[in-house]
Amino acid sequence: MTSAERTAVLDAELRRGYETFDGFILGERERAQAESNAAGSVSIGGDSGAGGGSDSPNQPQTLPQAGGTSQVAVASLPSASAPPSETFPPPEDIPSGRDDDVVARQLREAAMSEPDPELREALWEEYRKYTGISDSK
Amino acid sequence: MRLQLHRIFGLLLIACAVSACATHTVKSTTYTPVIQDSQNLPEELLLDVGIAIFDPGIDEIKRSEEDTTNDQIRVAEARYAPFLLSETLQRSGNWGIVRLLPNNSSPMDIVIHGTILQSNGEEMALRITVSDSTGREWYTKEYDEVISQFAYDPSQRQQNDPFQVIYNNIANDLLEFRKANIKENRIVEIRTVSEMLFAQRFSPDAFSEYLTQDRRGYYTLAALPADNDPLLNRIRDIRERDFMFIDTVQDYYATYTRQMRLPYDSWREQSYDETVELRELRASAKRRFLAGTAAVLGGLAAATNGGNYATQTGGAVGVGAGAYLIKSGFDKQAEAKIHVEALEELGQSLENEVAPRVINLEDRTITLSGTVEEQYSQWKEILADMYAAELGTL
Repeated sequence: MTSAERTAVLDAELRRGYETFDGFILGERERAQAESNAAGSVSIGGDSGAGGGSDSPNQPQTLPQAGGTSQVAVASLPSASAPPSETFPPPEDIPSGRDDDVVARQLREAAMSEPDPELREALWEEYRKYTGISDSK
Repeated sequence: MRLQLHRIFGLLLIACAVSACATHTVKSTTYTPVIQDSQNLPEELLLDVGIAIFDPGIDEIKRSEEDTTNDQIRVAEARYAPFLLSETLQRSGNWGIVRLLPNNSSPMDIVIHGTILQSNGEEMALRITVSDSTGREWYTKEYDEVISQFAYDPSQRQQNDPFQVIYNNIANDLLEFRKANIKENRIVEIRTVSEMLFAQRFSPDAFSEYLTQDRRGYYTLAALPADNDPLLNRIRDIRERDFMFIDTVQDYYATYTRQMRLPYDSWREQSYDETVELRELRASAKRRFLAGTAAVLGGLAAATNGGNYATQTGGAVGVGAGAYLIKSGFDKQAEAKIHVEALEELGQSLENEVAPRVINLEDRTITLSGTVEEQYSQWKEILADMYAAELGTL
């Protein structure tokens, strides 16, 4: 195997690692943001507070083994320079975004952070069209 | 004789005046907004800021404040306060990304370290140290803010943290220092050093030659890789992902801050009242002890040395008045103790609320960091193999 071939093999291995990592981190972020939103709407009296420590929903996911079969596309990822803002949960027919490519992910993020309900629904509609959800119905 | 009587009554008057005299704390009522840089820097010249979890300052708590300071609350504040600072800096628009760092593994252009020196609802004091990725310290400065009850007004609290001014002042000082001292070529150097430090973390063999470190620990660029260096581009891809990991931890901190805010604000407001009462009672008790002791001593001198009945009687009156002042000093001290106990109870109540949240936050951050580090180890191995392949040694 030449040096170039060897590098190509290693590059492919690296990319597979990126895919696995991206899917894992995006899933974890989505979960963490949903929790953050929920925490924002909880009043003192409504939240028992103490003991919230070790519930299983708060535990991070585990990263699948490198070289797994995740289908998440390789993409340059947003470094999210804005501070965490309020997000809105996706409608029931929207699946988890683990298989989203970069465009779908951007549509999803835009929809989840859009406060105007009409605009938000329009963005979800775009997401459905793009990902083919509406076709499969 | 008349002179001696005058002295006794003069002493009593001074004692009364001293005991009645009150100390006043100057409280800030002006709101300093965050300054936005008028000069719009291009994105490549914006410095990224990392904020470390603050030192809770438990080792620096004064003996006189030990009974009114709760260690666990300080630990919780050491995560709460830097998150508010990160939001303030981010909102200012003067910087690149601003993040609370889960550990010190990810090199950032600027790193802020803080120590909490005081936090009791009425006063907040922080020591802030700023340095850049080359290892040079920009400055260390102490910030102290004493707020008025107005800061806890519901209309104010909806808008800002009661101590928002302290974060605004830190943000404004940071901007001022950068504008006055850090020129564009230095910004480029700092940013490049951060990138090279990150590159060294993942591929030390390939990137070790680009940085030198002097005796003081300062980094200097010795050379630069080509901008289209394939290995550097892979490092940049990985760095994007490291920022994503840090962003995920920000979400954890955002949840934590939101969960802590209401009980913490409530504690601070109640703590404010108790702290103000306690300080006034302690000062009052001290003044009464001093004045009472002076009156007793003066009265005793007059009663024993007085040349006639009038001065001896005046002396006895002085002793009596002094004894009364001392007794009232003890009464004030007993009242102060009630407020100390109230503060302890309030602290315990908040501790029960926030301590599990701190543990949860730490657990999640450590678990995520561990998982991410495992992935990073694999990437480091792949990058090492790539470098070897490029050199033709594999």
